[in-house]
Amino acid sequence: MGMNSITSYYVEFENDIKWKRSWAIAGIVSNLIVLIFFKYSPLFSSTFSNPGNSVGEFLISIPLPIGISFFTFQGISLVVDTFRSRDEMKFRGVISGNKIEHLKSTFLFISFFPQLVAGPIVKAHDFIPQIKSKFLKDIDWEFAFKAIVIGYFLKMVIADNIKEQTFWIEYPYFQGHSSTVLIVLLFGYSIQIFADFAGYSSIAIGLAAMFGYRLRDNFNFPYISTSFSEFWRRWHISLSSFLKEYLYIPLGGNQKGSVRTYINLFIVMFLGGLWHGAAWSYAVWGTFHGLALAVERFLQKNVNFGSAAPEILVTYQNASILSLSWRLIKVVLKTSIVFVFVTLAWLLFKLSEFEHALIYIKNIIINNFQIGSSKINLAIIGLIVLYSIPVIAYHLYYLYREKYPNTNFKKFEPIVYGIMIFSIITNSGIPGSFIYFQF
Amino acid sequence: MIRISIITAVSLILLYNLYLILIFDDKIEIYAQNISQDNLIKVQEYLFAEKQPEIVIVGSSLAAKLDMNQLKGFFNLAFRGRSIYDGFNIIMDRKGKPNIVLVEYNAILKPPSLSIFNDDIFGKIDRVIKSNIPSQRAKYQPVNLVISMAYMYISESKRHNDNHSIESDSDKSSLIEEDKIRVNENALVMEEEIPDDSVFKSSFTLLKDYVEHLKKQDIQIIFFEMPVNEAICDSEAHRKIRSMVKENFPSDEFFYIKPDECSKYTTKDRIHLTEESAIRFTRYLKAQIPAF
Repeated sequence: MGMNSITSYYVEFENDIKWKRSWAIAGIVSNLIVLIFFKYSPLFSSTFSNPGNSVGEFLISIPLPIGISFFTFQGISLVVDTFRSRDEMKFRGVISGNKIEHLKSTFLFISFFPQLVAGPIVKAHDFIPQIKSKFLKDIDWEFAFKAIVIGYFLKMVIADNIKEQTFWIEYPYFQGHSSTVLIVLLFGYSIQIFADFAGYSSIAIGLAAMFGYRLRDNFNFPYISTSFSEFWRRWHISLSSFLKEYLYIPLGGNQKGSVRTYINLFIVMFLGGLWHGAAWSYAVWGTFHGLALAVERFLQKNVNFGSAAPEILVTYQNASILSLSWRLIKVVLKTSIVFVFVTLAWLLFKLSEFEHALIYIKNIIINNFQIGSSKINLAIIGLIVLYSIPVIAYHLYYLYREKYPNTNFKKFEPIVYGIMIFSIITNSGIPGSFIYFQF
Repeated sequence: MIRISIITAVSLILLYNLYLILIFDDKIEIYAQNISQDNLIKVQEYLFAEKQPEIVIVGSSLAAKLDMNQLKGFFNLAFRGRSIYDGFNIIMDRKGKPNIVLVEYNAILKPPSLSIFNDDIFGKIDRVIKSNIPSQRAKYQPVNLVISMAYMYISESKRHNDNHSIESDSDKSSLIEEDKIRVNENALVMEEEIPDDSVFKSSFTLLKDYVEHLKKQDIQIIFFEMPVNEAICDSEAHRKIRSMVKENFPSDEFFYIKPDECSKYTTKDRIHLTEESAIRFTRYLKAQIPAF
């Protein structure tokens, strides 16, 4: 915190642009050193050093500070936003004139407890201008209440209950199950990871709102995405927008020709994957997404795939029945392709050994599809489907509202929230850690 | 909006509790949604039971297979996927104490679980809430009731149609898989590797502490062994466990149920008895108990 406070302060008040840049680089590099030392040195040591090497063993044994991936990124955001404030209006107001005040603001910005441990990643230009005296009358209690109830419902009722079934996605346990069960388990994990992380983010946003701070949405119904780029605009928005603002655009974004754009996408997604965890499987996961984004970009440039979901929904109103059906089929197909790919890629989150993920996919292909009447199979399928219904309904409701914005469901909202509270109190699963705590 | 939501939630909770207290037939067999919940239900039933069970069984997933329909008045605190020490902890946590504790010693090398179920089981406020408000117990989760009733309905209609039990062969085979893979680590310990001496030492020190503690409260301790597959029944690891149990808990101070011949029983996965064998072994165990 001291380091970020000092470097950002001098970035702001140093007159010489060379020194400004030097302070900014020092701030970024020191954050990255902290992140790499604590988070990635065990990975590099286990990959490159020989067993028994004392330095390697020391590096492997270093404990991971809680929330390091989040607070170092926020530190980078503070330094970079301050540097950019020279040229761009939206970054102004990050630094106050007083050193002590700035230190206090930095302290609050980085250690603000609702999002300290697992995000959302907050950018300095979003948060610091909100630091001021807060009054109870200014709190949007309804917004906070809704966010917290949805968050706890997603985490405690959906994610914690599904997790007891997705336990089976663990080597070698999954090998005894039929292909159908393996597919349902994978689908369940996709729902679980969404409910777990979106739930956490929603709780954090609700808690922050209770203190008078508005954090940006971290999820925006990601499973309705009809393209990979749309998925990344809807999933873990704070990370994807951070990577876009602080890495993709500085690398040149899509402004330096097609080849550079593809390379940039790869770099961003590879590093984004590694950000999630110090294991090569995360890097492979990120690279998969990078590859998907690059292929999609290439195809979009060369083949006409139509527009994204919300625009299509708007055009439905004027479309003929035939073209509407065709468009609908296209939307469903594209959504399904994105969902299936994203879901398959989650395997690398659950199975950290790449080889085990391949065995899982192989088992889906070679095992039989019969479910039989066994209690355990019926329980896995039945419970995953049952607990997925609210998440599916949540996404469908969003689509419905997009298509019919004038429909008034508002009057039913209190009842729905009441049912969610009832479910949290009576039907929560066995508590488990948030998946993103490990990052 | 907030007020209406809270009123709705409170009304639903009240109605649901009234349903559980006044209408729900407690004789309906409730199915847990998963193994962890099944264990949790067992713990809560033991801790919140009005009457202290006289005989309690502690053990691993092997003893969890015992047919409790035959052992009326017994309470089985053997948990699937957990160590025998969880059972001891639960016994100690209840004010009243049983007269007899049956200790299955097949899997005593499995270390104590890191978190003993959840803090909420042992937290004072939570315990008061869970013991007095039925909707707060794991057993009465709405989804449990729904799946149990659905299962009961399916069983009834299947029985009606097929004129035989829903527990078909395929049913059993899937349960075999379940146990086989869940307790893989136990199988490894007992079949292939003999753990380090330090593992034996620490396990027996711990077991002794628990047993001594119960003995001081005049609880009779009876050791027994669950039969396993004949091929591993006399493995080196099994022999070592047996001899160390006898060494640490001499037969002039402690009671033992004579192990039955493993060849009489069949297992699903070399260590867990089939349903049928579990029923027969329970019969054997029950026949041995009156001697004490």
